[in-house]
Amino acid sequence: MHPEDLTKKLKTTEETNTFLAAVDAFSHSLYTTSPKGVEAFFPLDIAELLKKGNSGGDWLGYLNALKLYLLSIKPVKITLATDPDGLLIDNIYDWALQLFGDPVILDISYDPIILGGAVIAYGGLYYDGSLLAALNTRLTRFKSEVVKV
Amino acid sequence: MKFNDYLSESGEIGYVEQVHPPIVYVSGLPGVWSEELVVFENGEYGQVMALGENLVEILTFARAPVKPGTRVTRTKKSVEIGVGDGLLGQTVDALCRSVYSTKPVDCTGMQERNVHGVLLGIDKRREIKRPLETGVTVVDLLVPLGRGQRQLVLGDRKIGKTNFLLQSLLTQAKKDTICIYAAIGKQKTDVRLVESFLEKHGAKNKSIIFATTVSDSLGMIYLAPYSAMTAAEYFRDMGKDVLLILDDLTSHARFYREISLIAGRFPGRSSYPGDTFYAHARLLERAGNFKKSGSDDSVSITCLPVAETIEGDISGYIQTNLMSITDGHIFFDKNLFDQGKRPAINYFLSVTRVGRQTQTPVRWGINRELNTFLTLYDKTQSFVHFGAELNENITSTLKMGERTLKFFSQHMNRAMDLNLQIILFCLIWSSVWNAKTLDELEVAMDEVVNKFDKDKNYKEMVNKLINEAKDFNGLLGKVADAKGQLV
Repeated sequence: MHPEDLTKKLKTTEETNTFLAAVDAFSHSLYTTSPKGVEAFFPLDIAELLKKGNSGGDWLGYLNALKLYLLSIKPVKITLATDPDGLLIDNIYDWALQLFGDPVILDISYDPIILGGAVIAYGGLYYDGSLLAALNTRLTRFKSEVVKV
Repeated sequence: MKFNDYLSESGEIGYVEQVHPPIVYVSGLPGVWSEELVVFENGEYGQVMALGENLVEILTFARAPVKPGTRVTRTKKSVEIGVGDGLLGQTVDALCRSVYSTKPVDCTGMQERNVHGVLLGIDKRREIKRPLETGVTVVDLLVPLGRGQRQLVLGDRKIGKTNFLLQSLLTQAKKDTICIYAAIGKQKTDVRLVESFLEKHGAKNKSIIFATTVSDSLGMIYLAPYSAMTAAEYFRDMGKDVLLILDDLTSHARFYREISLIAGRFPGRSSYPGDTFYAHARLLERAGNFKKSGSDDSVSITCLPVAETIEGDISGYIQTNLMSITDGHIFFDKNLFDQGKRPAINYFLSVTRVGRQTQTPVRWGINRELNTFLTLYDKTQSFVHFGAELNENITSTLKMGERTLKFFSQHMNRAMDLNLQIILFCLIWSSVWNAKTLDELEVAMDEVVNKFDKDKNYKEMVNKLINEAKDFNGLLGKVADAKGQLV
């Protein structure tokens, strides 16, 4: 398994954090040498992926390498006006993958104040595509035009 | 502008990853530059200190520690403060915000200026030729200063350095000089004392206090002298002479050391960072005598940085750094203070490198006579300790020495006009008051001071006598002729 395959299963920071917590729990357990231990600590689909990836048998080394890989990925921070469902997250993930190219992890937060659209931050760059920002811009322009009149 | 405005304008965001107050490490902000001003989500500001591979090192100006995860954005400008006439009479922090919520700074016509402004080149500078009066006799006559000079004020704590500085400030405020006092990491009570002194003597409207106290953030304290210098540069560019007091740079160096050690800089001598000298040199180089734009006149920033010594040791790292940067120093001696001398200035260990070139022939003559005489008096005093027999010459030297020292002892609140100092010295030197005891001499001097302050004709006469004299001996002759009118 290529590590990038794993990121397709771990699309959000929430999922990634759960995976990392499972890695830590596995590392401190009594089953660090057995593939059955992997099944006990990880969801089935991920456990299958891990078993495919680690043919050598050194589970601790393999999982630590995966952990470091996941931690090195820059998250795409997205703020939405609504709480997203699974389908929306999949769509956003595909869009982000297409846009940024590299493997991505979505850090999605929910803030109804922005009314609609999304606020995106990635690699220190910031884009406010929210409805609130658009309305504010228009309102400011409208005010200045009223003052002129 | 608020955080969100800066954020949408710059399009760059960072997140606080590590906090070591006052330093924070931030991820993101890909385009940020060194010394850029950044703004935190909570409205506080910071200055970029260093750029790492993944993290940006930022010095915060916030009192409370910034929380991890706080959003940060760029302002796309260096650390700038608003300076203008509205600052006069105000007590402000290092970012030029009034420390009193009831007395906000009037921002009309303010100019935004970089606190680490560009130094003016040698072609814009002029030789120091105009004298600067401090109102303190021992300094004006023995360690004279010139406008644009950088003179270090050195001495142990609580032996009268601030009193001397305030006397100088008051004298200059009366002469329409803009006076700026930067309190660097002082106690709040110290700042309040300076404020009340200025208020009491009506000098507040001609002065600005940049107050940072020990309760402020290290970033703010570090910035204070640079901000004060920026304000001084504004008034210089407006064609006004400025007196800038930096109280004190040894504390500033200590605070800078703390910041550098927290930021993980390699410690050098006495754990100070390697760029301590640079931090002070680039600040003090901004003072000087400059060409006034549009005319052949000059305009100056005279800077009096203060350095504290421990047990009178003037060979400390920061003290010697500052001595080498400045154009001389005035040394306040603990031993002299303990002997009851006020001001406790040790003129033998004080140096003025450019002040003498500003003197008139009369003042130059007085300076020469006094230096020779005080050396002789000092030697004679040592000689007397052996219990030698005293001849007439030695007795008269000792007597004149006592009188001269009496003349130099000065009350804190009494700043003396230069011509008044000269005439008093001439009266003592020409033996007009020889018959009087030391107490009677003090009374006689007070009478002359009162006459000079209150009687306009008397003042004019004194000024005329001094202005017409070609040299010190000529003046002594005139004083001898006019002693009936003078005393």
